[in-house]
This record gives sequence, C-alpha cells and structure tokens, in this order.
Amino acid sequence: MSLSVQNISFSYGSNQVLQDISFEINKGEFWAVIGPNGVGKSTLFRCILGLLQPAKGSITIDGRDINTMSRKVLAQRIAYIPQIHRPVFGYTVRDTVLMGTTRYLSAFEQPKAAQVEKANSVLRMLEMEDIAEKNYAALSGGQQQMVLIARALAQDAEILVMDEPTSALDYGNQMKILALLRTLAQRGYSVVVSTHNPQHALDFSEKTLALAPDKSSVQGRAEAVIDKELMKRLYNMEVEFVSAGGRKILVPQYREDGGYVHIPMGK
Amino acid sequence: MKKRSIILISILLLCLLFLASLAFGRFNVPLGEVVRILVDRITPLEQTWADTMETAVLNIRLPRIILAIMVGCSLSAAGAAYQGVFQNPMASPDLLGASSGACFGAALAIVLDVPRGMVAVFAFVCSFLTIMLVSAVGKHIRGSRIVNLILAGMMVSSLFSAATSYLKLAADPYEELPAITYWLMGGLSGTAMKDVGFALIPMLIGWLVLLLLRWRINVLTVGEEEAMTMGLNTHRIRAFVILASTLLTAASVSVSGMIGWVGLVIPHLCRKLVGNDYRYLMPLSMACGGIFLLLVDNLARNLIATEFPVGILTAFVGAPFFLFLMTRKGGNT
Repeated sequence: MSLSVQNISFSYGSNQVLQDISFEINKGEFWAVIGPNGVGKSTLFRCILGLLQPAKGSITIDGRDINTMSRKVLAQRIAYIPQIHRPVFGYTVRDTVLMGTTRYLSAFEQPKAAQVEKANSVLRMLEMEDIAEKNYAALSGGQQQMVLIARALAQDAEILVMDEPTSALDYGNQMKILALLRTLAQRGYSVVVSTHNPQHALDFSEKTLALAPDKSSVQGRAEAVIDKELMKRLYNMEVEFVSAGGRKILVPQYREDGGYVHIPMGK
Repeated sequence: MKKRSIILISILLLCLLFLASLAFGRFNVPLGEVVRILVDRITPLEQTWADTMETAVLNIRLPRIILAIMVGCSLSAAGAAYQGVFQNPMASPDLLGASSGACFGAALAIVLDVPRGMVAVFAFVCSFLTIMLVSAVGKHIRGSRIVNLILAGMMVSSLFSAATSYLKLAADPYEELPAITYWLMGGLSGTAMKDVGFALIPMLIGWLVLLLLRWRINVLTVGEEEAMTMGLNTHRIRAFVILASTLLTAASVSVSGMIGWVGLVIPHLCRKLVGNDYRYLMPLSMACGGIFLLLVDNLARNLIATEFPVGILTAFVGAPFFLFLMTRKGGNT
C-alpha cells in the first residue's frame, strides 16, 4: 500500500495555500505534518480525504487516482479521525463506533450482526467495553477522542488521517493518543497526523513533512528535518536542542532581551 | 425498557386508540359494535347494529381517523428526518417552505374557483414546486450547503406567504376569503376516503424511503465531511431524505391544511424515550405522530359543539408539552 501525493497545489480563491507538495506514505509509516497556523495542513488533509480537489497535481493510492474512486471505495482505503467536537445529537459509544462500518452497507441497509461484531471487537481491543453503552456526549475529551479512533478502526481502512489529534486534550491524553497511533503504525496502518507541537513529531513520528509560510516544504526523518533553522522558518522561534534518554528534546528560547521572540507590548 | 418493546407498545397503543376513536363521538357506538362493523366488511356477520351506526363508523369516522394517523405519522417522520439532515434539533417539516407552498397552492385554487377536489392537487403541486425552487436557489448561494438551503427556504417561504396574503386580499370576501382562512387553519373535518387515497401513494413512498435511510441519517448527523469520509454520498442521501420528507409534508398539508408542532414535538418526545438512534427513533416517531394527531383530532371533533380546527389545537397542546419536555431533567439529547 502506498499513498502518493504528487505536486499538488491548492488555492482558496486568490489565496494560494499549497504549492507543489509531494510526498509518499508507505505501509506502516507514521508521518507528522508540522507548520504554523494557516499554512495549509488541514487543507492538505482535506485534499487527501477527497473533500477538496487540488487545482494541480494528483493523489493516488496504489497508483489509482482518488478522484476516480467513489466515496465508499475511498472510505475502504482512508479513514479520518476528526478532532473532538460537541455533537448535535449524542449516540452511545457502541453506536458511534458502529457508524464506522457504514462503508460495508448499501444505501438502504441497516447494520447487521457482522457490523455490530466488528464494532464490538474494536471496543474490546481498545479496552473500552465498559463505556460502550455510555452517551458519547457525556464522556471526557480523552475518552471521546478514543471513541473517534475506534470509529476509524471499525472502518477497516489501512490509512488513518488525523488533524491535530492533541489540540483539545490534556497532556496525559495527548501522549496516550500519540502512543496508540504509533502502535497502530507498528501494526501496519499508515498514519498521518498534523501537530502544533514539533516535539510530538520528534517523539512519535518516523517521517515529518514541514510546511513553511513561504510555500516551501521539507520532509524526511523527524530528527533530521527538525532543526534550529526550520523552527526559525516555521514559527519564527529560536530553539536549542538537548539530548536526553537518547531523544532529541526541543528547548524553546523565550528571552525577550535577546530579541529571540517578538512580543507585542514588550519593550 | 428495550427500545424495540417501546416501539411495539406504541404500535399497540395506536391500534387500540384507532378502535376507541371509532367508538368515540357525539353519536354513541359501543366498542363491541365497532369491532363487529369492521369485521363485517371482511366476513359478513349477522347485523346487530343500526344502519346509522354503520354510516357513522365507516363513512364519517373511519376516513377521518385513518387520515389523522397518516398525517400525524408523516409530519412527525418528516420533522425527525429534517432534524437529522440539517443537524438541527429545532428543524420542523415546514423548514424549507413546503407548507407555505401548499398554502399558496390551496389559496390559488380557491380564488380560481377550481372544483373542490382539485384544491388538494394544487396544494400538493405548489408545495413540491416550492422545494424544487428552494433547492435550485440554494445551489447558487456560496458557502455551506446546509445553511444555504435553510436560507433559501426562509426566502422562498416568505415570498409564498406574501403571495398567499395577496390572494386573500384579492379574494371575494364573502365566499373565497373564509374558505381560504378555514383551509389554512388546518382540519380533518369532512374527510372522505378519496382524501385518504390521494395522500396514500406519496406518503407510502415517503415512509418507505425514510425507514430505509434511517441508518444513513444517523451518520449524516455527525457532520457533512465526517460522513463523507465514512463512505457516504452525503449530497445524494440528503437529497433523497428531503425529497421523501417533502412528499410527506406536501401530502399532509394538501389534505389537512397547516398543522403545526407535530413535526417538532413528537420527534423530541421520542428522543427522550429511545435516544437519537434513527433505527428506533424513526419508527417510534411515526407511531407516536399518529397517536398524537389522532388524540388531538378526537378532541377537535368532540370538545365543543362545533368543529374545532385541529391546527389550532395541536399548537395549544403541543407548545406547552414541548416546554415541559425541554425543561424536564434527564433524557438523551
């Protein structure tokens, strides 16, 4: 399995956000996409999910253009894990996960025993059976995010796309979700996540794609790509790196007097 | 209680209420005789009832009761469906203007002095054309599809209301104007079997489509893009649901006039009973809609000496009941 993005560009009207982006994701790889707000991470993901049509370039899965696939066929290949949000109507955890199996059904079909068993097996695997009958809307943020991951797993697609999985979660849940995603990648899923924290890319991802405000991009192994120069280019931040426990740790430099960061209302 | 048993109980209640309603009325027919009159239609029995009883039950009460159930069921199903596809718990069947379209059609038919039987046809056709117009307008606004449809619905709806007002102004104040006014108030009095026949086909199609699509409606409620990534062709599903709901609303309004609140209150009551899962919510909303409108129509025909327009009563009963539902603690929504 490989997801191949070739030279795609995308504009909202006259505002170009993606320019000539290419990368290829193979089976079992964990990719992190980093870059400042508004640089086009979400746009890139929406293109990969077939929700937006890039103006130029192509996106293929095993050589087949995703534009030639129906929603149902695409849903067999890529599953989307959204950020948690307050639902209009609450469903039980089991029913929410069951929604992931919809791609197995024809339009007029209701889920049958096989789909319910699929949802149950995912809930068992993620050790969530005890909350299966609870209302999704009444869960904590961390639990809700786990339910949405379970829903994507019930979809049985080999590529998982997740836009800023950690932005609404507390520190412990951030680590738990990212570690789970890495485990899923080790089990053979291809995982693409966007993150606002470059340290997450260093800690969890094998490969990193960095989108810069000047429309340029770099990619490669996280340790190789994420350096002082890139952090300056992406976030206009001065950073140092230290090594601890064999890991590369990012240390942001905040000193105002050194002029590392421009702070409005400062001196 | 199991969700399935709640649905079964509601259907049983509907059947009992159906029989009781046939017996209930100013002209007393004992329940036993009602059953015998009904059975007599299938296998002839020895006649133990007066001919006047048979006329009251079969020709006057039966069509009206059947139609009350059908209309209640349809409005409630359409309301539940709209709430799902528009991801809005406040949606009701007249959201896109199906009702205003039907009212305009009926008023036009009355002003043009077409035969009485054609009023419902005019109302139905106008209601349907209104929704087609709304969809066409909605496509040409930029931005979110759902918000556009609602905006287009509000616009077209208010246009047709204005047109109906103009027709009232232009109508003959002694004959046509009262006819329009009474029609708009909504009511089931004088229902004949041909009204049931007229509404039956569009309603059957609407019920069937909504029942078949009820799982897809669940998935649609999580949001357009998420539903797409789960393999749904959201535009097509939503179009089917809107079309089916329009058939139901147009058919209802054209045979019974404006009957409000059923499509909003009943789905919410059902959400409290079985939760938001449309696999259970849709059939329960249908059964409870039938029960509700039949109950209210029984009041309408027996409350006072003259007939009470049922459209007024559904609001009198529905609005306070809705307030009670919304302020009560607990529930699934």
